[in-house]
Amino acid sequence: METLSLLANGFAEALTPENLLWCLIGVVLGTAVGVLPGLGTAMAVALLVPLTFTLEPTGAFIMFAGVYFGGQFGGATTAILLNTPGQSSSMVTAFEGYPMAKSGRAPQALAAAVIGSFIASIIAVTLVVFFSPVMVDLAVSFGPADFFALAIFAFVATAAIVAGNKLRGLTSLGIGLTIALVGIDEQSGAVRFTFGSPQLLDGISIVVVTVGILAIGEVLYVASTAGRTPATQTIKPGRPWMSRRDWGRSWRPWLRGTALGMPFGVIPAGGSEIPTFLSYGAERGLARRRGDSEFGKGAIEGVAGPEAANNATTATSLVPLLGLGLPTSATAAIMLGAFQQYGMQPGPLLFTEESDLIWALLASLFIGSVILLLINLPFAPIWAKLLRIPRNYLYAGIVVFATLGVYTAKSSVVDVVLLYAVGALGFLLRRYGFPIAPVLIGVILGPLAETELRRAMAISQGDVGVLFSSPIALVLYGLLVVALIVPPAVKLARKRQTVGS
Amino acid sequence: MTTTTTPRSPVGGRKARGELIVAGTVAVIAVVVLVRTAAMDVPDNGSFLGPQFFPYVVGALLLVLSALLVVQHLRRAPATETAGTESADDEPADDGKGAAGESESDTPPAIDWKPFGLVAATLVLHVVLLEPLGWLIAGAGLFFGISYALGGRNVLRDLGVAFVMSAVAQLAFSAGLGMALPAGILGAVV
Repeated sequence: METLSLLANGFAEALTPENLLWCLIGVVLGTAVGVLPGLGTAMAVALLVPLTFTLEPTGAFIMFAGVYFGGQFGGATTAILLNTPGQSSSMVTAFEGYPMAKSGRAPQALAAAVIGSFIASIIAVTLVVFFSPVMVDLAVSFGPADFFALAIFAFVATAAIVAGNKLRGLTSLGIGLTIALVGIDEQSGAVRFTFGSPQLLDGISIVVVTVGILAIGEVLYVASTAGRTPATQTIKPGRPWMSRRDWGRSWRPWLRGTALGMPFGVIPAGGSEIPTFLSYGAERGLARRRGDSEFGKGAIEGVAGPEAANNATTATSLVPLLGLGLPTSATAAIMLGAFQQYGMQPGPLLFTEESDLIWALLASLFIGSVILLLINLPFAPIWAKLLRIPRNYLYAGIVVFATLGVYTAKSSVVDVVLLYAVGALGFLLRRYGFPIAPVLIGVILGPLAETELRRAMAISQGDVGVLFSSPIALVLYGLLVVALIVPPAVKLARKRQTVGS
Repeated sequence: MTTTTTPRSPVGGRKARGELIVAGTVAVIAVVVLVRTAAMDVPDNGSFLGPQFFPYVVGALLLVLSALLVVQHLRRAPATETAGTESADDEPADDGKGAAGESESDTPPAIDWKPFGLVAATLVLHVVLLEPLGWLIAGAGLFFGISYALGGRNVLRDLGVAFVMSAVAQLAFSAGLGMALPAGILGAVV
C-alpha cells in the first residue's frame, strides 16, 4: 500500500491552486491545438513544450498532462465534426463519428468519445500507477546489453512492423538516427557533424525536430496543395445529451476498448492505430451478430470503442516511458524530450530521484482527465467554432507560434534555421508517404542505443557475444524475430489457402 | 479526400518519382555522414567503439536504404499493373498511416508552386531579417507572408492581424514569461 500513500502525496502536490490552473490552461490549449485540422496530440504537445520551460518542473509536467488529454480529445473532435482526424489514432473515430455528425448526432458522438476517453484514462492510469513500480523493479536489473536490445526492438518495431512498408519506415528511422548524431559525443568528447557551428555542439534539440517535422512540415504541405483543398465547413451541433439508449449502447464498447488498448501501450511497437482498428473491428462484428448494425450509417459503438482504446493505449504508454525511458509513440517521444530538457533521464532511477515529481505527474493525469470531462463535455460545440478561423490565419499563427517557441528556448537564430530545414524534410517525407514516427523514435533513442552499445562493448572488451548473453535481451530479440516472421508467414499461408480453394 | 480513384499508371509515375527524390536525398545525407565521419578528429582515449563507429553504421544503413529505394522503384516502374509480392507488402500501409503520412496508394498531387514558393520565401526572409528588424516587424511579416501565400487577400486587415499577433506574442513572451526577443531597429523607440 506504499503506492497509495505515494499517490496521495502526489495529489497533495498536484492539487495546489496554481498547479490546477496550469492543468486547466494545458487542457484548454491542448484542446485548441488538437481541434485544428491536421494537428493531433503529438503536435499539441510539441508546440506547447517550449512554453512549459519557463515553469518549474512540477507545474510544467502537470500542464503537460493537461495538454496531452486536451490534444487527444481535440483530435477526436475534428474527426467527428469534419472527417479530418488530427492524428492517425483518431482515424477510426471518423468512420462512424462523421456519419453521426452528418445525421445531426454530433453531440452524442462527441459525448461518447469524451466519456470513453475519461473512463479509459482513469482505468489505464490506475494500472500505470500500480504497474510502473513493478516495471522499475524489472528495469533495475537491465544492463547495457538489455537497453541496447530494447532500443533495437523499438527501432524495428516502429519502423518495420507498425509503419507498414518496411523500407520506408527504415528510411525514416535512418534519418532520425542521423539527426541524433549531431553534436559532441558524450563519451569521447569528439565533435560530430557540427560543420563548424558552435550552436550545434549541443546537438539538435528534440523540440526543434518535432515542431519542425510536424508543424512546419504540415504548413508547407498545406501550401503545396493550397489550390485544391476545399474550405472547411462546420456542422451544426444539436442537443448535447446522450439518451439512455446511447448510454446502454456505449458502456460495453468503452470497457472493451479500454481492455483492448491497454496492452498495446506497454509494448514498444508504436502508436495506438492497431488497437483502435481492433476495437472498431470487434464492435462492428458484435453489432453484426446482434443483427441491428448501424455501422456505416453512424453507429455510436464505433466511436465509443476506438476512442476508449486510443486513450487506454496512450495512457499505458507511460509505463515504458517512465519505467524504462522508452517512448512507444510520437507523443511519448516528445514527453521524453521534455524530461531530458529538464535534465532528467526517465528510467528506473527517475522514480527514486524525482519521486515527488513522478507521483505528482501521475496524480495530475487523473486530475487532467476530470478537468477534460468538465470543460469539454459541455463546450465541445464551442471548440468546433475554432474551425471557423480562416485557414490562412490559422496556419500563419501556427508558424509564428512554432518559430517563437523555438527561438525563445535558446535565443538562437540557428535553431530557427534548423526548424525550417527540418520542416522541409518533414514536407518531403509527408508528401511521398514516409512515416513520421520512426524519425522521432530514431532521434530520441539513437543516442541511447549508441551509448549502451559502446558501454556493453567496453565492459566485454570487444566481445560481441555480450549482446546476446542476457536472458532479457534474448527474449526481446526473440519477440522481434517472431513479430517479423509471423505476419508474412500467415499472409503466405492465407494466399496458399485461397489459391487452393 | 483520400479516396481518389485515379487510374493506376500516373499514380505509379509520380509516386515513383517521389521515391527517387527521397532516395537521392538519403544518398546525399549518407555520403556526407560517411565523409565527415572519416574526417573526424577523434580524441585518443582508447575506448572500444569510438565515436566513429555508430556514424559509420548509420551512414552505411542510409546508403543501403537509398539503393533499395531505387531498386524498389525500378522493379515497380515497368510493371505497375502486376500485383506481385511488392504490392502485397503495401497493403498494411493503409492501416499504418503515420502521424500525417499518406498511404501507399495515394497520389501526391502536383505541387502548387505559387503558395508553396511564397511560404518558403517567407520563411527564408524571416530567418534573415529576424535579428536586424526585431521580432515585432519580422514576426508580423512572417504571419502576413504565410497568410498571403495561403490565399489571404484582404491586405489591410491581414496586416493589422499580423501586427496584433506579433505584438501580443512579444508581450506574452517578454513581459509575461520574461524571455528575450530581438528588439531590432525598433529597440531604440520602444
